[in-house]
Amino acid sequence: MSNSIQLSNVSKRYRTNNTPFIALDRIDLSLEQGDFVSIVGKSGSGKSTLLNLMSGIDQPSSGQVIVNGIDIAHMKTNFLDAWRGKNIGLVFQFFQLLPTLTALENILLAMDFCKVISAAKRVDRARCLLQRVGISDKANQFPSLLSGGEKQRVAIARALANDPPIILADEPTGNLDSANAKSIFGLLTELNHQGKTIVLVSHDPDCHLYSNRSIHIIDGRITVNQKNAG
Amino acid sequence: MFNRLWTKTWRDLWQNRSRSLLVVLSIALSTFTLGVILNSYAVLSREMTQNFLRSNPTAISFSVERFDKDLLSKMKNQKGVGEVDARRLTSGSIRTNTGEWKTLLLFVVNDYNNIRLNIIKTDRGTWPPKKGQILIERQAVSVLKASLGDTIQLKNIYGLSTQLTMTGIAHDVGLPQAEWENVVYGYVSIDTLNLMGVDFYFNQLKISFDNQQLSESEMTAEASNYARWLENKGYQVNGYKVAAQGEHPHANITDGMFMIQKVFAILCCFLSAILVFNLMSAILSKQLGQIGVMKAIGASSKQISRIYYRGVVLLGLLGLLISLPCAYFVGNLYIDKLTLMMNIDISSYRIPIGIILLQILIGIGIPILSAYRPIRKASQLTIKESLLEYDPGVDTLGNSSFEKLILKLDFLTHPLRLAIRNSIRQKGRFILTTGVLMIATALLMASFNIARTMKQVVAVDRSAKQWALKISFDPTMELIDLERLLNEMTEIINTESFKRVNVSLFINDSEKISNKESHHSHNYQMGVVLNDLQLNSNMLSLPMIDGSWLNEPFTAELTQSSTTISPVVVSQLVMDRLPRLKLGGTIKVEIAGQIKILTVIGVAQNIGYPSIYSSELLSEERFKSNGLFISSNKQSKKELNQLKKEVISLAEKHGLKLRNVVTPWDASQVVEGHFNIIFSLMLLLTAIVIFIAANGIILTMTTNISERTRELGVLKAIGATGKVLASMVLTEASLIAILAWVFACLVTLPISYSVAYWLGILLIKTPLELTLEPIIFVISLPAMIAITGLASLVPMRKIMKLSVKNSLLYE
Ligand SMILES: Nc1ncnc2c1ncn2[C@@H]1O[C@H](COP(=O)(O)OP(=O)(O)O)[C@@H](O)[C@H]1O
Ligand SMILES: [Mg+2]
Repeated sequence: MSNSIQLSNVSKRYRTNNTPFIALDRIDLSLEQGDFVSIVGKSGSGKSTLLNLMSGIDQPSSGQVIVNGIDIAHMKTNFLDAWRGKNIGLVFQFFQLLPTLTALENILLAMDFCKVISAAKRVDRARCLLQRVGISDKANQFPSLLSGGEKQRVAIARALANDPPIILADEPTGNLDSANAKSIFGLLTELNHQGKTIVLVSHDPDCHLYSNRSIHIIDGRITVNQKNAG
Repeated sequence: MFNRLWTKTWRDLWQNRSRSLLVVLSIALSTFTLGVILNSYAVLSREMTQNFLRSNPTAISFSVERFDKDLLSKMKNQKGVGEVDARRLTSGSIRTNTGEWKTLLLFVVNDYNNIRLNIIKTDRGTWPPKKGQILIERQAVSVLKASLGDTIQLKNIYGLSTQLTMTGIAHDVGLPQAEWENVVYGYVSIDTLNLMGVDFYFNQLKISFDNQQLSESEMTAEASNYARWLENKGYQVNGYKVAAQGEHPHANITDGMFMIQKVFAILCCFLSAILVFNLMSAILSKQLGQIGVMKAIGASSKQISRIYYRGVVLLGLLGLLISLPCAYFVGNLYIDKLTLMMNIDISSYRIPIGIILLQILIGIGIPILSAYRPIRKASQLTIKESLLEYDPGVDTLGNSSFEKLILKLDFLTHPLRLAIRNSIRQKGRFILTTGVLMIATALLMASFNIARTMKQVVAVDRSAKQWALKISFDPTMELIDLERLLNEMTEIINTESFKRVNVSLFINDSEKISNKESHHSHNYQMGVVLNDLQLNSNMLSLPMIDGSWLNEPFTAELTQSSTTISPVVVSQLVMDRLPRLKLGGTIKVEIAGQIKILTVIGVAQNIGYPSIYSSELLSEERFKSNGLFISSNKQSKKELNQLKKEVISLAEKHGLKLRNVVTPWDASQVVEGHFNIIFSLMLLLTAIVIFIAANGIILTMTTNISERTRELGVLKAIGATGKVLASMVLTEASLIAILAWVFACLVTLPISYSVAYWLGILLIKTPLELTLEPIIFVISLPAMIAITGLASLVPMRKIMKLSVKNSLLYE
């Protein structure tokens, strides 16, 4: 299997009020295509920072980040924005749907930006995606009228809009009750079975039940990196 | 192709529709003001030029002592000469329907049915004038106060009286405005002129050039060649005038008027641009999080800019949708008003496409320019930065030491501290809003300062009149009887007779001047009122601008020996027409057919008609007194009106026919009326600016609130009542009002001073001395607080309605 995401000797340092702070410390990590990786750790341990480096939202202070064979640590932001739209689907804790667009339109907007899917096929595909996440009846609702679980499903459908090979989800269940959380995990598992590489940051102690690899982070260092049984 | 980028654009506008509406209105208001002024200026200047060109304007007008028709064909054969035409111009006086005598400038046209140059058209009634008939120029009708069919009494240049019938009204675009000149222009035939006892010959020779493209200096050179040629032929050339190519003689007056209005329109544009800028920055800073999300899902900076630029362009177009038609219709009303004043006919109200494009450019340009910086900044932020901003609960307050200091000031009330804190948090927006309100306040103060100044000018003018009543009567009335009767009245201290005649002042006589120095083209005379007072009269004590009054020894250096001269004082309005006249110099006037040379020893300020004051100048038998000053121990307006009534009824009882009796208050009525019009215009303009400023307060406050919805929700959750929060808004508004007022007190001084200066130059040809209105400085503070208070009602309602739950959910 080819390497999907590879981090070599990656560090991220911040400087606040002239005191240096190391958020990530010499990380070496290699994820394969089709992996379902869960990352756990205390708040402030560096999980989001790690995820942001993988999506190119943030740049490392040193080291190499290679995603699908491209070294994204040294790319221009203009290039990265377009690249991300095609290669990475992002799911956030606070859903981050655009409030003035309907569920369907939120998904369509992502396609309109990237222009990977031909214009004629976009609406059909968006409806199809909503069906896949199980809320096709909410297509024309505005986000403010959706429940948290429904919002996150729309967000996942949006992440899939341009059919990216990788999905990065930062605490997608952080704002959901356990029943909703469970079905979101189920949904991600399903996507993983369909071939997507999934990186999931979560507080949920059960998340390793869904993933095939678990990573623990403490103070910016990976302490555990193991394959899950089964 | 309409994809979701469009959807996002217009949904965002629709979701914020109340604020979008305010932006649309601000843009509409500023492009409207600009549009009215640009449209009317474009149409008027085009129509004015066309009116003028259609009349076949004269290139050079020679004032030749005396010539006949033969000269025309000779002149036409000269090299380079296009058309030629001739007129006879003679002056006299004409009696208005109210019994006043006005200066008459009477024309005889060579051939009324074939006018070659300076075409005069019939407006109403008969054409051409037949024997015994007179046609009056359209604008002079209001000076003459007569109507078609009236019998008009006039005197020729020698004072000989004739009666003619006014049978028609003519339109002559080439003449200066009759109303402003206080003259009547009339047109008669050769027969009628003879009937009036005046010999016929021509004295105005008009020519145009074959080559229409000659420059002014080329024309001037040609003019002097022709003048020499005429002199060689034995004609006496008294002067000539070269017209600026294709330019209407009123052009510079209109230009001046529009200049002021353009400045105002640009100010309005600028102020609304500030509001739009404030709003755009606010809207975009609220959108930062969404921009981050859009980037995270693959949007390029270009695509994001496109979403927001489309929005602002849409707002601009909506504003234009309102302002373009409104500006068109209001502009047309304005044009109609000015057409009467400029004495032109409008053949088309068509607005040049360039002017419309300019308005569209500005209507779209203002929002684009004001959105440029915020959009650029927002779309260039990295995703991390914009998502971070989106994270609710980030508070960057308390960074600077000043902010910390303010927060520590315990003696400030809670709402005041919050208000100051909020203002500091959005410094830029706060400063701009305050600045706009400051300009509005300064203009308000300036309006009242100018009103006070104008009142003061009228008061000075009134106190210059030492008399209590001024009576005018027919010279045939027995003055001695009247004086005896009046002197028997206990209220009356003293009476003193005077002579008041309309005279013609020669303006360009025997001087070769070009158009640049005077825009008064074709007549060489202007109507002036001559007041011949008794020796050592002290009925008038006019404020002197220069030189000395009649009774005082001359201070001016005289060009002639002092025993032979006729010393006079002229008003500044006369001075203005004779730019080269110096104190001690002479003026030439025609009084009842007689030419007199007068020596100017002083210039006095008088806000009425252009006037000359003399002392026992008209001593000849034929000049009889026609006016009487009365001085009284009574002074108030009421008492004098009472006295006026008594005098009128007393005279009537004894069969003495008085023409008119006025108090000093009556005399200043007209001027006060003009001043009131100017004051209301200034107030109107100020009101527009205040409206824009109030709009700005609403925008700023609502923006501040919606940006802090979450924080306000938290405040409510921990026990702050809606009242406390509302009073915070009110305090913030008052803070803006107070600061605006403080700076306006300073800024209004130079504004008031320059308006007074230019208004004076424009209206009475001498700067007005600024008098401040102290009350407006005091009153405008509570007024501005009230206005900002009213403007913050909208945001206050919003804040009262805010529920804790909603505001905490607010994204
Ligand atoms: N822009 C920044 N400046 C300074 N410190 C930061 C910045 N972003 C993150 N950090 C710090 O880096 C550490 C890791 O943050 P993060 O990756 O968000 O943790 P989490 O594991 O909770 O997602 C935290 O201590 C955070 O305070
Ligand atoms: Mg995190």
